[in-house]
Amino acid sequence: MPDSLPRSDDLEATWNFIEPSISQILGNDNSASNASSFGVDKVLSPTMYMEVYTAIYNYCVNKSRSSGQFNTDKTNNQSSILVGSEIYEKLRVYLRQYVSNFQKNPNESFLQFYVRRWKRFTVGAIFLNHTFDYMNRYWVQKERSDGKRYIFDVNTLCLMTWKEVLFDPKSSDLVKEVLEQITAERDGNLIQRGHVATAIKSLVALGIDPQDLKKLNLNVYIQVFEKPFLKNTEEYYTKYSEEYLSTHSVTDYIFEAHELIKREERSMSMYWDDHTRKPLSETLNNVLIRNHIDKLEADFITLLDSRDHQKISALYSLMQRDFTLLPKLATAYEEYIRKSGERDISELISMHKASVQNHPHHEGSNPKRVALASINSLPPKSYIKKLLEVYGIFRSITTDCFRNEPLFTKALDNACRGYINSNEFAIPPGSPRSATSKTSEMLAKYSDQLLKKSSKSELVNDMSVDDIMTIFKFLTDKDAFESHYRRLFAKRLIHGTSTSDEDEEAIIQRLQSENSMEYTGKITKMFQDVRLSKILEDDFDVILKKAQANKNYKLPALQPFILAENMWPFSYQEVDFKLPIELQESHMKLEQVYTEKHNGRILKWLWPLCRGELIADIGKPGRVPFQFTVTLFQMAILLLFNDSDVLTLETIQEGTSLSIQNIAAAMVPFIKFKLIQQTPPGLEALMKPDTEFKLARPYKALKTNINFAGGVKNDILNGLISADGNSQRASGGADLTESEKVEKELGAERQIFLEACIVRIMKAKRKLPHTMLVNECIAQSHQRFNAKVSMIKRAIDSLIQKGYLQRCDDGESYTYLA
Amino acid sequence: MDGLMNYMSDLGLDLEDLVTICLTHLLHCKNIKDDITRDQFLGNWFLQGCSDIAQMKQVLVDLNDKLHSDKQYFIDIYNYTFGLITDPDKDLEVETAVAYWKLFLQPKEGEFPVRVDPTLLNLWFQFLDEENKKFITQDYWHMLVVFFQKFPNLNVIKEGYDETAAWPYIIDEYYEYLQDTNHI
Repeated sequence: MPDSLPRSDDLEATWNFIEPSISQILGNDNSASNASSFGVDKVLSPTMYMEVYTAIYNYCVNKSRSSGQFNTDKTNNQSSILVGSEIYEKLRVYLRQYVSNFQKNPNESFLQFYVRRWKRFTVGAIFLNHTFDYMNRYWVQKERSDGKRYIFDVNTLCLMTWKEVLFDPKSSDLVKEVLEQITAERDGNLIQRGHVATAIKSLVALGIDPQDLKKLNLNVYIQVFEKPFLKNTEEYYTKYSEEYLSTHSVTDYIFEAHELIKREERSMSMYWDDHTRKPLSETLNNVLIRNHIDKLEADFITLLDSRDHQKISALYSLMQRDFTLLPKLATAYEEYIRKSGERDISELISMHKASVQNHPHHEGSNPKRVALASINSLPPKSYIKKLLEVYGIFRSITTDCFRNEPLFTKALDNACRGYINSNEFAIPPGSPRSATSKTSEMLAKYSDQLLKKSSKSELVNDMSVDDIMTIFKFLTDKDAFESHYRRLFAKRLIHGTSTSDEDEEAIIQRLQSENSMEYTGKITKMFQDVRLSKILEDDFDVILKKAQANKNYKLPALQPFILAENMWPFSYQEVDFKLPIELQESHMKLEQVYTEKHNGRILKWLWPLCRGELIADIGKPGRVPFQFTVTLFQMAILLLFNDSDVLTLETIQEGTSLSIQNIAAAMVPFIKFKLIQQTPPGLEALMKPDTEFKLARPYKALKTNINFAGGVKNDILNGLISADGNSQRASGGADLTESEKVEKELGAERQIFLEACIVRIMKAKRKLPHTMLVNECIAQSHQRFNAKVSMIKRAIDSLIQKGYLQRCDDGESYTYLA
Repeated sequence: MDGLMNYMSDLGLDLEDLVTICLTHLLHCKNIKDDITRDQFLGNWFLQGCSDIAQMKQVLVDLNDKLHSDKQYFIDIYNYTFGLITDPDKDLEVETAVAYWKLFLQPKEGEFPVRVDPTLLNLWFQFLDEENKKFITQDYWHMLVVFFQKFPNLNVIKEGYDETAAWPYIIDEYYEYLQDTNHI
């Protein structure tokens, strides 16, 4: 190494001066073999570094200062001339030479050789860049800004040289070896991961955009590595997954696929550039998931059958990698839930049938009738609980496994709406198209059991308001529920059999907030009626007491219910009945009190619904008097026995004005409990005027409190009368069963609702196409019931007939006629 | 009304003949049971430029031709008929409706512009009978001919009928009846 610096204007001298240092910076072949650790001081001593730097600096500076003197360049403005091209050219040639001299050791692979050289070379390039800092900053920059894009700073020049000389001709070899290594790792072998990583990183570094050096350019990486890499990955895993699936179950495969993806995306991410993340994950999705989608979807059902949350979650998290696969999965899920629900209910029914047939209550006359009866006797609780059980299972799967993903939540809701409203029980096969689901009725009965005082506690203890609300949410025929609920509610109210007002109110509140004020309107009004009646009762009591103060007898206590007619599910029927003399005064007083309070209101008395309590001292002498709970009709009959122990049917009829039907119905429980003896006995004799009835005295019974009212069945004589043949059919078609009545009422209510709905819509819109009107109607009635197109059409027909609507000439829309 | 009958026979018309309806239409007769006033009679014939039976007959021959060739006129007459044969503010009884449908859609001779497959028409009558339909509203009356124009035979119904379209409910029921009885 020369002792002194070369002359600043002497190119050759300067080059000769710096060349050995350059060679040392880059590392010559001999020293490079152990170049596993590079320290700056080892490469070049600070003094040397300073000298080289100064020499280059001097050269560039001097040249530019004296350029005019030497006249090598054109006579430009002196101060603007920067010099460097000669030394740059020398460096370029030198680098080419240098890189092309690299030799692979015989015992190393190309990859090893490449990595070893690359590591050393890049470190050298950075130092070299520093030594040529002055030239970089002035000359190179000037040239590049003049548009000479083939001139680079020294570091880039080094990389470009490397790429051109060493990399480009050999790139495919390199990538081949890299991919071999990756495959080896995938096969589970240990490899030198550092080498692979370095080689791949070099591809990123070599991506140089000659136009803009600062911009990161992944062309080289993508072309040379990423594409083959993805192709390789695809081939590898296609083969792998097929082999795996041929020897393992789909469920195992799901977990395996998870592992593979995890390995590829996490562990192996150290190799590739971030750019590859997306295409790689897509490739993996394709190969590992989409290519096996049929098997996976089939396995989904198996997994649902197993109810194994962990496995279902695994499948879901695999599938959710590609969101386009989810809708199909959700549909399958929905279908599955619906089927399970329907199947479970069918099983419940057949189990119930079997248990009924094993313990026949009746003389098993007609098997068909028994089967029908057994279906109708299905306990509401088992039915509702079964619905809830299915819901619970899938609710938790939806939460645990599908993390409440909206598609799956929706699938769950749809499916529940499906099986809850329509299953073998709710709509038995062969029902007419317009049949209303029985679920509403069952849910109302379920609520009744929950709220009735008399229900046994072991029956009620696992029933809850939440249960009701869960099912309620899914009911399509909410109006049917309201109707059934209201009937049972009414019975609870007037018979005083509710557990408590608070419980009743709580449910009403929840129904109201779930649906609407309007929905619970009637129920709320009923509740109010009962409260107002209570106030009336108190007022009446006060008045009675005043009246009694100066009389020497006591009027019987009375608990009146004043009910708004349309709100309650009771219809007023004219009944022939003479109020017993004992009650007449109270009755008159009450009417008086009420009319004074509310002038102009009409009171109608629902005699058949009245009940009373009687104290009868007809036991053995000295026994506590009996207390009978009876209907008003029964009371009237019993009161007649105050005058005589034996009465004929005729006398009873005279005394009460009741029809034979009503007397017979009232009498049956008495006879059954042996309070009254009938001669001659038998149902037929019950209707003969001269049949005698004798009060049992002393009456023997185990209990002091006896309820006769519960045993009253109004249709007791129906079978008899129609069997008689000669008697006219008693009240004929009016004698629909409770649920048929509800059904009919519902139909009428819906028709009115829909007509009102259509009129409202048409009034606002004036003219509307058929489909839009129908859709609007469905939307508006959705809260109450599921409006069928046929129902809407009937309402439209009826409105056309009534002159509210008119068909337009196009035949597809209607106009509103004011 | 008896006067009308006599007048018809003077013109050589049969009551069964639909041209009588063209005549009442021409005379702006609203309902078959209404009397035709003198003004109504004279005024309308005057507008046709007729003063004797022969001229009137000629007009009726022309109208009869029109009924057989002009579809719009045919439909106008058909729609007009409902009011003519129905008591005001009432619905048409099925028996009467069927009789007139036969006149309009199953002519004994000649052809009208709207033609229906006889099988389809007879199935319609059968449907009305079996489903115990009692009355036909004006809307049903109007829409039935629209329906038959669009779906003149069973095949077309099978392929193209849409229950969600704006057909009256009775036609949906008819469609279901055809399905249930395996005709489509």
